[in-house]
Amino acid sequence: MEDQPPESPTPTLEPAPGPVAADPVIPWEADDSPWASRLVATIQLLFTRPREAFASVPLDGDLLKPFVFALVVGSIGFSLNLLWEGLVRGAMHDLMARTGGTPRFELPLVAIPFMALFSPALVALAVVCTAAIDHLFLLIVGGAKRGFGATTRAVCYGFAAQLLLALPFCGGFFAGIAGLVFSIVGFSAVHRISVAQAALAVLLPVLLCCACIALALVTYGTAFLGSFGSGALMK
Amino acid sequence: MSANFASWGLSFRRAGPRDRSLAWVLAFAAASIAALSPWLPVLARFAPACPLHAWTGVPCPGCGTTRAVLALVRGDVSGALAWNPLATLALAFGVGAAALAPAWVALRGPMPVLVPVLPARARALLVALIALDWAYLVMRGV
Repeated sequence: MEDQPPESPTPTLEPAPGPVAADPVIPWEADDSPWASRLVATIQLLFTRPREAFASVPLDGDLLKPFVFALVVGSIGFSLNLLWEGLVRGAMHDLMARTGGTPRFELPLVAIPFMALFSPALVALAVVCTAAIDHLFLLIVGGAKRGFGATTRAVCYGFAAQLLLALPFCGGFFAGIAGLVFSIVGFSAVHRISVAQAALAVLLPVLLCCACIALALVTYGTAFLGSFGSGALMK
Repeated sequence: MSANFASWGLSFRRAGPRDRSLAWVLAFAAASIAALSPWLPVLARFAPACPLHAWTGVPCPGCGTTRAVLALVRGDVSGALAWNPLATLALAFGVGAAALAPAWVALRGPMPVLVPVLPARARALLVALIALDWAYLVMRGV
C-alpha cells in the first residue's frame, strides 16, 4: 500500500462561522432587560437619535408591543398634563381676571383623577385615528410602502412626544412640534421614503387648507379689483 | 371582479396569525369608544377649535367630525351625515371593522392588501372624495 501524504487543509476565503450581526432592534422590543429600563432607553433614543430609533423598529413583529409603549407614554403625558391643569388653575383664573379673558370650559377638579383613569382609552383612540389619517395621506403621496402596520408602529413610537405635555404652560406646543418631527422621521424610516415625501404626507392637510385660502383670496381679490374697473363700488 | 380591484391597487389574502396583533389593537380602540361614549359630550368640550375656521371662517376638511361623532353616539345617523358625510361613513365603517377584526382574523376572512404605491386613479379618487366632502362643508357652512 502506497503511503500518501496527509491532505493539507486547503486555504479558504470564506469567513469562519460565527455569530451573525443582527439588525439593531429598538430597546422596547428587545427582551433582554426589565421593561422600565427598556422604556427609558427607548425614550432616550427617540429624543436623541430619532432616525436611528425608527430605523430599528421591527416591521414584522408583534404590533401589541409598540401599542403598549404608546399607551404607557401617552397616558403618563396626558395624566401629568391634567395634574398641571389642576395645580395651575388658580393662577390661570387670576391671569384671566386681570386680562379680562373668559375661562374656557374646565373639568371639575374631582374629575381629574377620573379622567386620568380614562387616559389609556383616549390614547388608544388617538393612536388608531392618527394612524388612519396619516396612512390616508401617505397613500395619496405614494409613500405607504410598508402597509398600515408600519404606519401604526411609527405613530405608536411617535407618541413619546406626548411626554412633553408634562411641561407646564408650554407643554402642548412642544409636544405638537415634537409629534410632527417624530411623524416625519418615523414615516420616512419605516416606509423607506424620503423625508420630503414623509413631510408632504404629514403636512398635506395644512398645505391643502393654505392653498385653498390662497385661492379664495386670489378669487375674491380679483373680483374686488374688477369691481373698481366696472364701477360697481360707485353704485 | 378581482381584476377590477387589482386595477385600483387592491387585492385580498387570507388573514393569518401575523394579523392577530393589529386586530387586537383595532378591537381595543373600538372598545375604548364604547367605554368613552357616555363621556364624549363632556370630552368634546375639550376639543380645540379648528384654527382654520377660527381665523378665516372657512371650515377645514375635518370640521364637523366631533359633532358627527356626538350625533352617532346619540344614534342620530342622518344628523351625523349632515355634519360631515365622509367622516361619518369612515367612522361607522372603521369602528364596525375594528370591533369585528379579531373574529374576522380567527375565521381567516379575506384581508385587503394595497400595492405599495397606489395607481394614480386610486389616489385621484381619494383626493376627489376629500374635495367633494370639503366642498359640501363649505357650502353648508359647517
